[in-house]
Amino acid sequence: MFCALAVSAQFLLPPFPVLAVEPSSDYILQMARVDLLIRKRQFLQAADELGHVPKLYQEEPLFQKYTDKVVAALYSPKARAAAGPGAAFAQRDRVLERLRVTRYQRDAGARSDRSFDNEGWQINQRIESDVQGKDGIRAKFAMDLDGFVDGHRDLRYRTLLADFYDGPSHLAFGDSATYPSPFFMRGSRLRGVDLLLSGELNEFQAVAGGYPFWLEDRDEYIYPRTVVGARDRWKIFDDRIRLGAGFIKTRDKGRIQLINSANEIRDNSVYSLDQELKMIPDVWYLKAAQAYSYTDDSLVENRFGENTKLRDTSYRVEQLLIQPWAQLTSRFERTGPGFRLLTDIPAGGVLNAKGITADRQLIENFLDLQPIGPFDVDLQASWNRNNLDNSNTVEEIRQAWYTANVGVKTPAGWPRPRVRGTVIDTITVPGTLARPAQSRVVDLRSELSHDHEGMHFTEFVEYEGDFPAEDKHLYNAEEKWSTGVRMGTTFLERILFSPHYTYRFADTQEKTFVDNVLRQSPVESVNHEAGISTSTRLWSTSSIGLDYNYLHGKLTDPNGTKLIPTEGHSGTINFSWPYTWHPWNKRRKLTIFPAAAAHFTDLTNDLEKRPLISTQLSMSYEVLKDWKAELRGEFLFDKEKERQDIRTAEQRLWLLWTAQWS
Amino acid sequence: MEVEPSRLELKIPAGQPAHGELQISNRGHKPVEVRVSAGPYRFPNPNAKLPSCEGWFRFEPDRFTLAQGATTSVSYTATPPVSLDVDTAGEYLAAILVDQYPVETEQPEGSPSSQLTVVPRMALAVYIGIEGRDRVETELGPLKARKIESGATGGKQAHPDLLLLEVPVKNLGTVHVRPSGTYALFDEEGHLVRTAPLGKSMPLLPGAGMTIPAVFPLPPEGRYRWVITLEVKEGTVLQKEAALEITKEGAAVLEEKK
Amino acid sequence: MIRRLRFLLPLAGMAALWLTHPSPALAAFNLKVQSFSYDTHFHPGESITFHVTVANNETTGQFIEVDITLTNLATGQEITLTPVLTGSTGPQQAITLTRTYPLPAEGSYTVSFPVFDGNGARADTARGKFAIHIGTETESLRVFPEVLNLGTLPPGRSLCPTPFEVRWSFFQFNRLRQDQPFSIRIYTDNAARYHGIPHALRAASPAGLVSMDGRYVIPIKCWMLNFGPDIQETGWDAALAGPPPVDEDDYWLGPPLLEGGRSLGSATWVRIPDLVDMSPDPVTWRRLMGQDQYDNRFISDPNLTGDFTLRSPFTVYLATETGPSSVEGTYTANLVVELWNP
Repeated sequence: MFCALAVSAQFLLPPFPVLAVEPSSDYILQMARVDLLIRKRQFLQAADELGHVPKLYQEEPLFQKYTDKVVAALYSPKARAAAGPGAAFAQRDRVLERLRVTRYQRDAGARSDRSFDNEGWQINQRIESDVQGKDGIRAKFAMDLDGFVDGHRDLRYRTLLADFYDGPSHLAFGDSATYPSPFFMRGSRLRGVDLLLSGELNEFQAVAGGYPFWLEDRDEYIYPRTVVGARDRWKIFDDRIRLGAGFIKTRDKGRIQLINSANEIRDNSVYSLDQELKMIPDVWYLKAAQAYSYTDDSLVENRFGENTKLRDTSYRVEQLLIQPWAQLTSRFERTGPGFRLLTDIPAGGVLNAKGITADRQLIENFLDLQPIGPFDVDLQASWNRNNLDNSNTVEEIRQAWYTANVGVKTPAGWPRPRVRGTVIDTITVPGTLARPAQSRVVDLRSELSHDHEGMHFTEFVEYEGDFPAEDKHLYNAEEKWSTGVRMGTTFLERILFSPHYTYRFADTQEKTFVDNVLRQSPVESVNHEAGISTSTRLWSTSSIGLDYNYLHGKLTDPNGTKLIPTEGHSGTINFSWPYTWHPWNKRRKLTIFPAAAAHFTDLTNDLEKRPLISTQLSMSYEVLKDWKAELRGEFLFDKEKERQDIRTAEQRLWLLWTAQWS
Repeated sequence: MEVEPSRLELKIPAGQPAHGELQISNRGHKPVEVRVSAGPYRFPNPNAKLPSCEGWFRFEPDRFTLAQGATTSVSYTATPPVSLDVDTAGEYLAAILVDQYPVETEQPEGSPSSQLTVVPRMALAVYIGIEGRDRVETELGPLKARKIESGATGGKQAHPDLLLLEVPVKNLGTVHVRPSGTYALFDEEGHLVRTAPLGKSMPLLPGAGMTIPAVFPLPPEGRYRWVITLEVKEGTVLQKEAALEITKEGAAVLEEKK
Repeated sequence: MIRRLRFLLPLAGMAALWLTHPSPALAAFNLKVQSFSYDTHFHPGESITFHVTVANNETTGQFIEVDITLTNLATGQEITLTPVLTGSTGPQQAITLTRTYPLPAEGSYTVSFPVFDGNGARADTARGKFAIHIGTETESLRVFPEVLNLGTLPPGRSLCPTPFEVRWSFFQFNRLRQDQPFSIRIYTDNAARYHGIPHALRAASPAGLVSMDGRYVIPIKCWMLNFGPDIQETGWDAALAGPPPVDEDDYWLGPPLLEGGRSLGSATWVRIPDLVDMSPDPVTWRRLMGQDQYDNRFISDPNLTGDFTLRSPFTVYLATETGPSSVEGTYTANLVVELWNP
């Protein structure tokens, strides 16, 4: 036989019959021709052929099916381009649901960590769906509902999102976040409308809405800060150059003072340009952004009649230079002291991670060299300073960091050395009385690693010195040395064994102020630390680890700040057994994972005598790509034997249910 | 070693020579000596005496050394003989042979005096059609259907009852064709039950015939319409319809429609 | 929200104008505080100088008295500094009153400037933006346990069951008598041990746990209360429910962005970098907590001193992620918790 056999076949279940009579031969032959043309992706000819089918047969389901296919292919270029065995699989409709109920209890003594609430319940429910609409447009809907019970009850919806998208273009109503450039949105979550039109050469985005904030005492969302913005980006010269421009304006309402009466009501506009250039493809890339901000710092005049208006600029450039022998990454950034980019209103103890640090100038260079002979060198030189307008009400801090990381590639069997050196110069104007205005920190660490008959050895030496560069008669240097050895080996292919020893010598200064004059008294401390750590596999996938450490030297007193000589032991036992079982078939998975750790520290001189026990147990049953149920419990217990106020008992239990339909 | 293109299908007016180039690349680690020549068409199904264009070819260069990693072009000229005018064949066949010889090296001392040299050879099929005399004509023969009992093929796994449909095709034209297409199985009401490609086949030379098979599990009892759609040339489609009946006993009965 | 920003809790800024209570006899005169100034950080035994400018908006000359009141943040006890500031000024004129007082005992105090007229009726009250801190210079750091054994790392993401606890104390001020910026940062120091895989095209960062032969690295992520998550966005109240689950990508990798991808800067579980990855840009550090009056990523209107400290001790949790490419072996790391101030 010289022909290929028919390898793939489609089996279609016959739908409800429309015609009672047998169709004519012509129709049958036509349908067979259309099938062949569709297979050969000649959709125009297939459409032509379909156009010649008599009206009598145009209600036939087969005819309609072929017509839909041909029309979709002809009028949806993306669908045509994306057609392939993977595309149909990736774009299936699906619904995802996740429910988690958490119960947490914590009892902490007066001198332990009391930042967590004593007890409470939390319920998090999320439902998300991704469906196919018409004309190749897909829609994604998401909703989150959360409930908290901790002395008071609070139930609220958190996310509502309806996102209609077609490839990279989106039209979203509800809660969405984007981060297209350093001066636009920066990942802030806004509730409103977000339109993103992304084409081959152009990208346009417009946002309008407010930053929501849930007021617990009123059980409602307020929108104290509204935002409006737009940006456009062009890709030219075959996407070698991307130029963008945009603006974003936020405006606060008086309601922002409901969150905290100290909040000021502000108006902020930022106009920005951004560029991405592939100067020489595969060799030199450049990324830059510039922005100008105008902030009306207090829309409501304060009691002193002041109304500050801030105007300033910020710009940054990043470049990447790739050569066969090295790679250089550089960054330059300068943001004026009056530059503001107001992002959303974070809640709780969350830092304003989306904001920009103003009043700062930074130059950063990382040079990664390819090995020159046996030497492998990585270098860094960076500078940072603040107080760009040289104000004398701001402490100016200038830092210069230089780092070198040198490795020597010795022939096989020889020990391999590696050295890391860091020099940090710091200038503070005016600084604190406790430290010199100009100081240099030198930090060197060198390790030598080698193998002997399956045993790894590492010896290290570390030196850290903190030297004053000014006022040397007032300040003394501080130096620390340490050296040690660490070894690791494997016995019987299942027992890992690793002993270590470290010697530390520190020459530090204890600082006190007497009549506002600094007095420094040198303090020397010598610390020895030795330990052994081993772990072995037991039955099935379980394993146990044991750790013992001996410490002799000076440690900081937890009650105060002095160094107290001590000698002590600490040990840890760890056990874990991640057990997985497929009861019926590979799709069903039962996981049981118990883990326990016990740690005990016993130091002399009233420093610490403290056991710490923690256990975890999680059990889950999962039907892959279908649903999953998980129950997890965590328990932590910690108590200082001689002090009643240092103790913690914490337990957490959660039940998680996720399900997926497609 | 690589040769581009992998086969030549040319169409020339009668009496005109054809020119072209072959790209030969050496992907190996050592330089090789390449010899290019023409030979007779030796591909499967040479049951008939085929008009040959072996003697028409000249290669420039026909013998050269190719360094490792290098690529070179070999230009060829196919000059039809004068006697072509009186010939009636529409297509002439040959093969271009590209042989790879090791570069002569010095005999190391102490090595055996006789050596066996292995010469890899690449053969490119050449089809030269003559304009004005190329005629595509294909005929579909009577369709056949046959049931294969389960487990009858002797394969490792037992299989259910299969149905084997056979489409004989005959080339009545003067040039070779490569038939490809689909078969479609409809039920009595005109609904599509099954469709599958018939696959690209080997060349069907003028005057030769072949049978294209299609195997699939036996459909349930009933009456079906079976359509073969075969494309032998761009735009030319051959179709044949047959009525197929699967009886209660599982036998397949075929009746061709005129 | 503010309940977590303990330790040096500055006072909220501008309050609404304090309207006078009509006294049985007369309403107070129109006297307004125009400005005031004072230094904020002292050693015990020093003295503090206050300058207050009061404007007389009446048509007649007025007697002005300012009773500067300090309120101890810890105990709530109020201290009125004596002798009180007094002075007189003509109509539509302002007067600046200055006096130096000895400081009360160590502690943190908020300042308020109630203004009284000649009849003893309160005319106005201004409140100081920054609190006064009196204390001795101190700087200490202690971590428990000193040696952390994470046991056997299971496949996938796992939360290490034993967190570590950091006890700290810091009080230093600069010559402007403002808080000296400081932060407690965490990083690993493995660059001298990490050699990487020979002939690798790109060297990975040595941040994390490094195998004994120096070839492989498993990154470590950490979490503490300062890292959130943002309850407005994610619905996980960490003070109520503990560390966020590591299995959810929204916490491990970051919240999703509309254009695809994730907002890595807003992730809750964040990577611990290595010393060679760090540069003087604080964005490259992993700051656990601290205070920086000059960085407006931390400054906000209710938090003018840029205080993002947590009460001592605070807990830090660690988590790791191992995948199919993780290699069996013993991994160790030098994890440095450093209290840094310039």
